[in-house]
Amino acid sequence: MTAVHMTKGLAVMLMVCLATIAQAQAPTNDFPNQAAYDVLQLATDKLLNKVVDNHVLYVADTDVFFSDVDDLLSSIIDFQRIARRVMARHYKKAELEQQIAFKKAFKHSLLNVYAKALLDYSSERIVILPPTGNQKINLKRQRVEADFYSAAGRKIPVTYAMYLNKDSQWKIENIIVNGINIGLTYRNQFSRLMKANNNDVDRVITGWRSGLELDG
Amino acid sequence: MRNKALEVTVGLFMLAGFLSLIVLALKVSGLTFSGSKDSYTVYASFENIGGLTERSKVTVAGVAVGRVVAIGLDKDDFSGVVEMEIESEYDQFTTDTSAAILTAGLLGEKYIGLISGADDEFLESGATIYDTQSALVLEELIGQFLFNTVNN
Repeated sequence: MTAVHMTKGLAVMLMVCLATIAQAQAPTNDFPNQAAYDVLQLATDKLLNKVVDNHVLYVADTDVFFSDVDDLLSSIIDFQRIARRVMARHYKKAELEQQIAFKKAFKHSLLNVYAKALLDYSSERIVILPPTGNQKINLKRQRVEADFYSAAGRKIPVTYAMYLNKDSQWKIENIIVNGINIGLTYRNQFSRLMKANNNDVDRVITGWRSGLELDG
Repeated sequence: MRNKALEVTVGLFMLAGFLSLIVLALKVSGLTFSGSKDSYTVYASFENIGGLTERSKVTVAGVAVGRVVAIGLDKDDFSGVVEMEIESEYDQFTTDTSAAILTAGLLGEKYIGLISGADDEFLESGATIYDTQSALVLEELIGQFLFNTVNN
């Protein structure tokens, strides 16, 4: 899977957080993923409102956009966890500075793609599907489904893998777009880059940042 | 004059031929006589298991480390639950290990590929892998391709 496909998939995935239709309030039931759904819906609405309110400003100044959106996204996406999982077995072998550097590069590249998604996909729609009860009972992990509608009317199914962290907050730990496990795809990509760069983490981090920016 | 030794030799050759045929058949079908090594059980659920069957291989980096022993359906969320046995000597799989259903070659048989993660804890017997990648179904891919072509 090329980086272009990945970034496009990522743009789609991030657009999911951007545009949403106000859903009729789901009845409060004891569906297993009700709590996760509520958290996701709330965060998405907040994000959408913020972007709509400041659309002109964000298009003009991407740095402000990055910093504004950074806080909101960080509250719902656990970047640290995702970055750690992408590094997989290389994480333990890396120095603390390298771990932090990769997390920063990873987050930056995601936000970068997000900015482009904002400009390109302004008319997209996303529907976060309310819980239906078709979930396993699991106190720590739940999945929330969403449908993303592209301008061509194509429906792209997106699944958020959410987990309950130590502070009892629901956060996104992975996203599955169209059946493709994005976290796993990045993990494979990181592994490939490590092999190509003789397991030099610093070179991989530099390459990661530049690679995604070039392709985006 | 019939030579008994000759007949016995021919008979032995025939036997050897049949035995090799049986060994070949067993190897191809995946059954082995290797003494059951110690193993532990791990579960994983997938949206679509594709053509995965019992006795499909479980691999890490292409190296076989176990086998699929059972495939079931989860009645709560209608996902396919795969029960696999991994040889006990491979016990260093972190709890965030990924399990992906991969294809051997272009249209070959399906098998499971495991990729270890970064967590501190390791999978124990009876644990479930939660980070999974379902099989990519050919018809769905073709459908998406056609849909895109039509729309462009």
